[in-house]
Amino acid sequence: MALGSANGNRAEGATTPLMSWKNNLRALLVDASSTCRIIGKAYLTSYGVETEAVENGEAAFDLIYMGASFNVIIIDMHMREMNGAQCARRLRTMGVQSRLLGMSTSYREHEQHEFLAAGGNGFIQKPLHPSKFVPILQELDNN
Amino acid sequence: MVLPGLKQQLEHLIQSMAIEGILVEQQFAQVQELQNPDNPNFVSRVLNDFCNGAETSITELNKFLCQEQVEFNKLDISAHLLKGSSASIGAHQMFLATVELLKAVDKEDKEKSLEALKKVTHEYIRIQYKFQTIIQLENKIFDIESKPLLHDGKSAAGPSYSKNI
Repeated sequence: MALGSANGNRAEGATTPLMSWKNNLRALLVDASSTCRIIGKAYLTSYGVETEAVENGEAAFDLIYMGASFNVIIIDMHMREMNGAQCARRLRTMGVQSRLLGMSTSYREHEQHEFLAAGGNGFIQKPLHPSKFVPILQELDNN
Repeated sequence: MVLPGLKQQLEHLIQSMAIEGILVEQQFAQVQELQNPDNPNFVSRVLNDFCNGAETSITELNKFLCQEQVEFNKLDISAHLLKGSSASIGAHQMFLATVELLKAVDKEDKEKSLEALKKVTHEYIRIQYKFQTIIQLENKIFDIESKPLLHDGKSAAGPSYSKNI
């Protein structure tokens, strides 16, 4: 399942990440669904990515205002108070330079256009799976 | 019931759900793989969260559809939320039912949306019962596995670790 360097050795009492990185990778997951946040955070953490997960755009902005920074921010395209494009636009306005990825099970074409126009970099399909996020993490780790 | 028996029961239940078509076994297996010594109750926690979230979403969807002037944009968001959660956990029939609901919402068709929501609710009830059984089995397995072993390899008697369901 794991691509790149995989570490299968498990230290007693602690779970060793499934991958190791040259850099300390940090991810922020913005998703209205708590089930998706729990699973997504567990996945990314198991692959050695320090991950925060929040429910909406405002919570993401609060983290950024408090000085947090991330290599990648994965944004649910369909949230209550603001959608993925609105969240991306505000993050760019705040000066955030992280990779911004829109996430959904499916996309309407206009939603994709709006997200990219708002400063988004691309998309990742829900449900999250290593085959989808590992190549992105490898690219970020090499830059 | 001994540990191997419980694990076998759990495995058979998941397999039967996959055969019935209500669970994507591969997707659910990925969730199970995330359970580890740092996160020993992960599966129970996720399933409980899914069920709580689904009930909240279904209640919300019903509320929106009962309004005289239906706010389809709000319906869209709640339906997407349910669709995403269903996909993440591998709840296949629920996922398909929410796809149909979203089609009806896209067309702003109240009658079809109500019909689709009934199907979503039916599929939720169907899977929720089985998820509760999985949670019970997972908790029993956790109880046995978390008991310290005596020198002869048998589990110690005494209170098991308590945890919230």
